[in-house]
Amino acid sequence: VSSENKNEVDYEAIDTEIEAVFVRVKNEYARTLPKKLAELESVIDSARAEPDQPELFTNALNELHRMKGTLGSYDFPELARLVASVEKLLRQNTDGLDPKALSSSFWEQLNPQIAAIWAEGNKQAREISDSAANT
Amino acid sequence: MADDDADIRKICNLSLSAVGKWQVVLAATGAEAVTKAKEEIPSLILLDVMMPGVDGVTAFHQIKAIPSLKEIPVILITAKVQPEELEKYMSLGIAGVIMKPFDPMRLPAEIMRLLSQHYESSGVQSDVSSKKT
Repeated sequence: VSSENKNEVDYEAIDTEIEAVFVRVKNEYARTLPKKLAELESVIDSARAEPDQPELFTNALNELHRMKGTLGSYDFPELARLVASVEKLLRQNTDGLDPKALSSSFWEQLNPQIAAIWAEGNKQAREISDSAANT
Repeated sequence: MADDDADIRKICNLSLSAVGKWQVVLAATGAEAVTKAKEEIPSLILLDVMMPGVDGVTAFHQIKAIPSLKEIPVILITAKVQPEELEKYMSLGIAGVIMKPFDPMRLPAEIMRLLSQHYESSGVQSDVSSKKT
C-alpha cells in the first residue's frame, strides 16, 4: 500500500460500517418492541378505564404520538402507520370533546387496531430474533 | 440534542456522531438542554418540541434569553406536520424544523441544508464546522 493510498478515505466502507451499526441498533430496539407495545397498551387502557381523568387521555395521545415518530425513525414504517392510525382516530373523535363523551363502542373499535399493532410488532421482533439465530 | 425519548436520543446521537462526525451532548429534558447549553456553548441546538415540563419551544425562548447562547441556531424536532404549526415555529426565529420520523443516515445532511438556508436568509456565517450539538 503506497503512502498515497494510505491517506485515501474509503467512504463507501465507512457508510457500510455505519449502516451495520444502525441495523444493530434497530435490532436492539426491535427486541424491546413487545415491552414497549405493552406499555403503550397499558396507557391506552388507563385512559379507557378512567374517562373522567382527561390527563390519562392526554398521556395516551402523547404516547401514541411519541411512538409514531420513534418507530418511523427506527425504520418500522408499517408499525408507525398503525400507531398513527390509532392516534388519528383518538384525535378525530375527541376534537373539542370531553373524553368522557366517548362511547364504549368507540373504544371497542380500537381493539382490532391495537391487535394489528401487536401482530406487526411481534412479527418484527420475531424476524429480528430469527435472523439473529441464523447468523 | 434534547429529547425525552431515550430511543430517539440513541439513534440521533449515533447519526450525528457517526454520520455527521459531530460531538454530541445529550439532554433528556428541556431544562437539562438549557443547563447543558450554558455549560457547553454548542454550535447548534436540537430540541424536541414535545417534552414534559419545559417543552422545546419554552426551552428555545429560555436559550434565546441567555446572551451567550442567543446567536446559536436552534432546530426543532417534531412529529407534527401541520403547515400552520410550521409557520408558527419559523416565526419564532428558529433555524429550521426536522420532522420525525427522520432517516438517521441523512439527518446530518438535512441539518446542514436547514442551516445553509438559515444563514443565507440571515446573512450570518456558519459556525457548525467544529460541531458540538
